[in-house]
Order: sequence, then C-alpha cells, then structure tokens
Amino acid sequence: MGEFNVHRVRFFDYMPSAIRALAFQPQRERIAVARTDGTVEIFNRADCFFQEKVIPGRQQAATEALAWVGDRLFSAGLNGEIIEYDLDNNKTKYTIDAYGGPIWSITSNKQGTHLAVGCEDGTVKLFEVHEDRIQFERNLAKQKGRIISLSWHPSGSKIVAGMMDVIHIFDTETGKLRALAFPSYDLLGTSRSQECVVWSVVYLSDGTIISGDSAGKVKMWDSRTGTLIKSHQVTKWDVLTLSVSQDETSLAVGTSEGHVVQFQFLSMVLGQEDKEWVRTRTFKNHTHDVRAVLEVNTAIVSGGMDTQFVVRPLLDKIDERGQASALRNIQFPHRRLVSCARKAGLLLFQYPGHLELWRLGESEGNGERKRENTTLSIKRKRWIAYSTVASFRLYRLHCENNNVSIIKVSKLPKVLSSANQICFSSDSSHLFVASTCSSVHVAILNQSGCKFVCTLKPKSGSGQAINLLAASEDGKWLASANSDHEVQIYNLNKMKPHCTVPVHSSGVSAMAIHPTTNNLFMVHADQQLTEYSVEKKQYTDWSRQVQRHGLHSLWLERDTPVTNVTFNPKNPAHIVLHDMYMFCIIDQTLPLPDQRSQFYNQLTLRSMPEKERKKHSHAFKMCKIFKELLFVELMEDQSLVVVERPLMDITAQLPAPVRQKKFAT
Amino acid sequence: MSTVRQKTEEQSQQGQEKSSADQAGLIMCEYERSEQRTAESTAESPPTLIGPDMDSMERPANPIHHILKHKTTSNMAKLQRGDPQLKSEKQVKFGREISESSEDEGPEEVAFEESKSVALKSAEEALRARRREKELLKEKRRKKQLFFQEQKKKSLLSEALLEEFDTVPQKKKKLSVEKEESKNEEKEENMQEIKSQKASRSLQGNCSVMRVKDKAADESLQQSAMDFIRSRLYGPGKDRTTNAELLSLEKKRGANQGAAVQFVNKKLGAEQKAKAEKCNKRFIRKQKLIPS
Repeated sequence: MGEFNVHRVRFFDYMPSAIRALAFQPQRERIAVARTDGTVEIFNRADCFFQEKVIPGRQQAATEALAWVGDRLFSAGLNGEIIEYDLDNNKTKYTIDAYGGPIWSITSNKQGTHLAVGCEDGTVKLFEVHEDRIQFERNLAKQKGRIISLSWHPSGSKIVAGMMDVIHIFDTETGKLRALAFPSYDLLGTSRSQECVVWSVVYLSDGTIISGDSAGKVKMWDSRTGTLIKSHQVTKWDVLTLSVSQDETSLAVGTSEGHVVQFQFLSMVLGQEDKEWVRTRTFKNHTHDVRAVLEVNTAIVSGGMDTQFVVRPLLDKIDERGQASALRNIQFPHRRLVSCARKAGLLLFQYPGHLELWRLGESEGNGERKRENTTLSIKRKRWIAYSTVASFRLYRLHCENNNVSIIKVSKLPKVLSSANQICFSSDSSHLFVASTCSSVHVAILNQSGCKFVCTLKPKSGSGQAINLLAASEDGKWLASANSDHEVQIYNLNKMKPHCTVPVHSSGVSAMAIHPTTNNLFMVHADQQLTEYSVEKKQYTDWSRQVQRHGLHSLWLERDTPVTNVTFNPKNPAHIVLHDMYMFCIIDQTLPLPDQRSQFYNQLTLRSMPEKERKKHSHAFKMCKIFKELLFVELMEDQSLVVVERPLMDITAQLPAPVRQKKFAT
Repeated sequence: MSTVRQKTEEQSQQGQEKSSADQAGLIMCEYERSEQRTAESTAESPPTLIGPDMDSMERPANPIHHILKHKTTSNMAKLQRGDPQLKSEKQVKFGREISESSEDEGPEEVAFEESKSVALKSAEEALRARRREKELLKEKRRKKQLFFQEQKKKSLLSEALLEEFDTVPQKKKKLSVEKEESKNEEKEENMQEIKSQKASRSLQGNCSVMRVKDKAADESLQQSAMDFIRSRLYGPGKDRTTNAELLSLEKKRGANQGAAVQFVNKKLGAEQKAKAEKCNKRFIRKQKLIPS
C-alpha cells in the first residue's frame, strides 16, 4: 500500500449545538430536529437516518418547539415568532409574530387544520392553516402564568395546557376550561419552595392526560373527573419531555439525568383486560439533559444537551437483524465542513459564524469573521467562495511565501444569491452554484471578475435542492445529486444535461468523478458503493461485480455515512474515503472480500511475509487509527491530511450535567 | 426591744432543748391556732404585702406588740412553707401572745379599706400603663405613615413636570392601541421612558437620551424567558457537577481505566492548577519557607 505522511489536524474547534425539539412526520418518515442555534435538520428514517436537509437559522430565534402539519414544518421560539420552512429550497418561507411574548410550545391537531401556540402571557392562540400561510383565528381564555406545554386531543375538540403548578383543559370551541391543580405540599406535608413546572403534557384519546413536571414525576390524570390516577416518581431531577406512540400503548419520557424511560400500557395480570401504564425500560444513552424525545413505533429517538441524536430501536418490535435494529448515535453532520486545496496545502474550516483558513505544514492561521450564518464555503487554489442565507461572496486569494491575502470580488452576477452548494472546476476557471429547483448556475472566473454564463436545468424538473456537486478534472462533466435521490450529469462543453444515473433507493452521501477514467464514484447512505461511467452512460464492470458479490457485512453495519471521496493521483485504482471512525483505501485491482474472510486485515497482513500477503489481501484497506474524523484528503505530495475532532473536547465544553452518585466513586 | 428579742431567742433555744415528742405535741396545738390566724390573715390581706397598716398606726405604739405582729406575719409565711425552726420559735411566741396580747381585741387584721385601696391603686396603675403603651404605638404608626408618604413623594416626579408633558403620551397611546393588550407593560415602560427622558432634559443629570425604538422591548421578554429556563435547569437548587468530573468518573469505571481528565488533559485542569499554584505561593510566603 505504501506509507503516507500524515498531517493530523486537531485545531478545528467544531462545536455542535444542543438539540431542543424533535418532530416526526409519519407519512414521509421524516424527523425534524431543531437545535439551539436555530438550525433545523431533517433526517430520513427510512434511509438509515441520513441527514437530508440542513436549514440554517439564527440563534436569536431560540427555537423551542416544532410541529408538522402534513408536509409543512413550523417552528416557534422564544422571540415570539412562528416560522414556516421551505423544505424544497432549504430555507425559511416566512415568519409570523404571534404577539403573545415568547412562545413556549406549538402543536397541530390531527386533522391538520389548526395550529395552537402557547405563549408567555398565558394565552393559547389558535391559528388556521391555509394553503400558503397561517392566519390567527382566536385566543383561548387567558390564564395567569405562562403556558409551558400544549397537547391536542386526537379528536381536535380539547387542548390541555401545562403551566406552573396547574394543568388547564380548554374546549377549543367554547373556550371553557377546567383546571387540574398540583398539590403545593408533598407527601411529608412540607410545602415546596419552588413551583412545579409542567414541562410536558400528552392528551390521549381515552381522556387520560399524562404530564411530566420538574419534580421528576410522571402523573396520569383522568380529564373527565379531573383527578389524579397515578403518579410515578421517575427521577430526582426534572422530567423534561414526553412522547406517546401513534397507537398510544407506549410512552417515552426524557429526564434531566440523561435517561429515557419507557412506559407501556399493559395489564398487570396476563390475560386480563384492565390495563394501566407501567414503567418498563430505561435507556441510558445520554450524558446530559434529554430535552426532546420521540416514540416512533419501532424506535425511541432522543436528543438533548449533549448534542447527540440517538436512535434506540425497540427490539421487541423488530423481527430481523439489520439496519433498523442498530443503536445509532449521530454526532457529526452528514456533510463536509472542511474544504481543501490540494496543491497549495490550504484548509478552509466552516464554522457557523465565520470561516478559518489554515495552511498545512506550519501552524499559521488566518481567520475571517462574518456576521451571518454561513451555509457553505468552498475553495480552490486561487478562489474562496462562501454563501450565507442572504448573500453570496467571492474572494480572490493570493498566497505568497508566508503571506495570505484576500481580495473581495465585487459585482457578482445577480443570479448568484444564496446557494446550497458551490463547486469550482479543477482549473479554477468556472464556478458552479446550485440554486433552486435542482438547477446549477455556471459562471466564468477570470482576472476581471465573475461573469454569469448559463443555468443548467435537469430533465426531470424536480423541485428539490441539490445536496452535492462534483466536477471532473478535465472540465467536461458536472454531476449533481439532490434530495430526491436523483443524480444528474451535465456536459459542460455543450452546457446541456448529459444523462441521469438510475435512481437508487438511498441518497448519495459522497461522490466524486475520477480524474482519468471519468467514472462517477458514489457512496450511498446505506453504505452501498456504485460506480457509473459517464461517457458510456452505464454502470462500470467493477460496480456490477460489487453488486453481485455483495459487500462485507462489517462494511454494511457501519453506522456513520461516508462524507468524502477522493482519488490518488499516482495510482488510478485507489479510492480514498472516510467516515467518522475509519478511513479506507479501496483498491479496484484486488479481489473483493468474502463474507467469511477477515475484513480488518491490515495488521495481520503486516505480520505476514511478502509472498503470503498477496493471497490474503482484498480490496478494502481500512484504518482505524484516527478517531472522530471530520475530513481525510490525500494531497498532491502523497501526504494525508486527517482532521480529527475528539469527542472528549466537545464534551468538555457542554453545559453542566447533573451529579449522579455512582457506586464506588 | 433588743432585750425582748434576746429573751425570745434564749427561750427559743431553750425550747429547742426539750424532747422531740413534747415539741411535736406543742407544735401540733400551736399549729392549729396558727392555722386559724393564717386563715384570718389571708382573708383580710394578701400575705405578701406587709405594709404600714392602719391598725398599728391607730393603736398606741406597743413595741412588743408591733414586733410580735411583724413576726407573726413573717412567721405565717414561714409556717406555710413548713419551716422547722419556726415551729419551735412559735411555741414561745404564741405563749407570749396569749400572755401579753390579751388586751388586744383579736387576731391582727389588715383592714379592708387598706387592701381595697391597694387593689384599686394597682388596677389604676395597670390602666395607666396600657394607655401609655397605646399612645406609644400610635406615635410610632403616625411616624411611619409620614415617612412612607414622604418616600412616595420623592419617587414620583413633581407635579409641575407631569403637567408639562401631559400632551406627549397621548400621541404615543394612539399608535400603540393597534397592538395587542399584552404589550401594555411595554407601553407603560415606553411612557415611563418618555417621562424619564423629558425629566432628564430638565434634570441635567448623568442621564443619556435614548430612542424608544432602539430598545427592543421584545428582547427583554425573551431574555427573561431564557433566564427562567436557565434558573430552573441550572439554578441554585439543582445538583449539578462539571463535565470534567463526568469524564473522570467514566475513566475511573470504564473499560480503559485511567487518571482523572484534569491531570491528563492540560486544558481541562488548567484552572485548578493555576489555583493550586497561587495557594502554594501564598503558603510559602506566609510560612517564610524561602528566605528572602
């Protein structure tokens, strides 16, 4: 294989933000995740929880809750605004001020006609959902105190609101209410010093209300009589969130301790009809507070202050072992945050608020700070381009021996507004910018500036945004992949679409065009590898062989997707790719591994003599030395750049966890 | 007088030398008489008050009689307590009394009027004391009320200033009527701000002028909401620890056991190390371990 000089980079201080809210859309199997810095991410549950879309947002939005109404996504935050998102173009459609002060929760009814919003001033505001906007309908009776949580009865006629020390039930038509009061004294008769905050409520169809409060109790109430049925002390700290499954037999509870507790509606004696809510399982997958939890029939999805998105499958509901039965812990985003100029040895790091440019070999850095949220940045030897939600900027880069200077290029074509993806051609002459409806704008770069040439539109006319762009080395081809799992290849000489790759069931997580053979190499979210010959418009032989032979089970069982694919300029048969825990070089000349052969065989091969090695080696050469990788790239001088971000450094900067007393510590 | 006393004491001493049985018998009958006397004396006057009585004043000053009377009253008290010495003394005294005070009318009595006057006086004194207390309280309350009124006057602006800008807030009210009622607080804040701005113009203090538009009232609500969450989750009553401790515990009980992260990772332990250094320096200086 060879030896490489490794540049081990650990100064990318990538800090993810905490998860604040989760919402599930059952029809399309999408999970929306709202983070504290205002970004909303969409994960596709059917596609191995691949992160399909990332919608950037502002930190001032302070998103508190999310709600799906059919295919539309709404969020509400502490700045008092309701935001609707344009999921096709990955941005916000519009914002509406609710005029009630900070909004604590938002929920939609099952029929999809109304949205209810709980505000700081004590009102529950009802909004009617129209085709292109929402309209304020009326307020329900104003209460004293803030409304922290809301839940709609499945019939749509009643809403339950959790406040401080009290739960109110509203009738949506008449506005009348009934109150369920929390006792102000605990069992020992001592009055509590602080009020009990009802962090979350759930209204079931049989009239049971389940509430989780800051005293650590999960209480079941009967709404018809207004009495408490049962109270479970789940934790010493707060119960922050509740979620009930669609068939209302299972409840997931998220606590401040980091535990997720499951309650199930079972009968205590086998065979009898009378059922009650019984605490069954506890999952301890988080270290910090769990602020959002979702019960998605076969799994429990949770997220919290430790920024991890954890999917815990419920194994009693899954029949066979496969992708669905794996515990997933998604920590890093499923896209590239680092961009590299191979010849010049420069790295560009993308932070939420600024970009940093570093040169390898020395430890000099040149940071630029921008005020807006950057969505994407990319660089080539002489150019840097980045795009924010509102604008697009292009800079010319001059690197002399030790000085790096940046000059802004003004007078950009107006077509180039905010972009999802940016790609330069290999000779830095052309700039490709992805825009709405899966189309790509092409612009020419020269000494004087940037000039718009034309727009490439796909044949299928899909409205989805483009996730990935890849340009070929000879400047003839351009490939684009969008959220509809479509991959389109354009001919740049004629500026027309060339062909479409057959649609695979899983989305593309990384792709690149080979410099010499012009084969488009794609890695999908379900860990499948495909190679498509652009000139011949069909899959290559190697790709067919891989499909026939099947990939090794250890390769398919990896739970993080591949985010970067590059090639070795000196050896055309090598493909370098990496995911969060390993990087791998695939040698297309070697045979594919059998299911029974040892997959991670690099160490054993090293111990063998030369002659034996050839018999046992196979195409996948995996290396697990470097952990928590964000980026791996092979430079021109055969040195390897490895950008790592140790998870311990991230954990050290999180907010304080609760003090758990463990035995023998 | 002194001689009589000495005599009684001698006789008492003599009396003590008698046999115990005789003493007991004598004591018994004397005690009965003393009981009668105590009954009479208590009915007429409180035993504790031994004051100048009218009877002794009226009658000729019979020293022996006088002394005897005093002694009897004090002896009554002692008898009630069951004083052993008294009983022997009593033999002598009662004997004396029988012999010497035969010209008296009867047992000593404290006159009714005397005790009545005493009782009345005490009642009057009590009444007077209560009245005094009430007046004191009234005074205090009055002072407090005055103080509060003055405080209130200080906090409000002078009436002249209020009249001056009475016209301006009306305009502002028209604009803000369009917004919802829930913004009442902000309106009041705005008006107060306008007032304060106007006041600052005329007061010329260390006040700066600020436009109402610049200060986003919404932000303060958002900030207070975020503070509410923070205080509820990370506030004073909550049991929280540090991330370094969490990681160190994992290392202690995990698969690859190692030292706490503060010692392994330089950045995490930097604060504690700096503190330790300072402490060491202070200790060395204090103890003067290094001769300077």
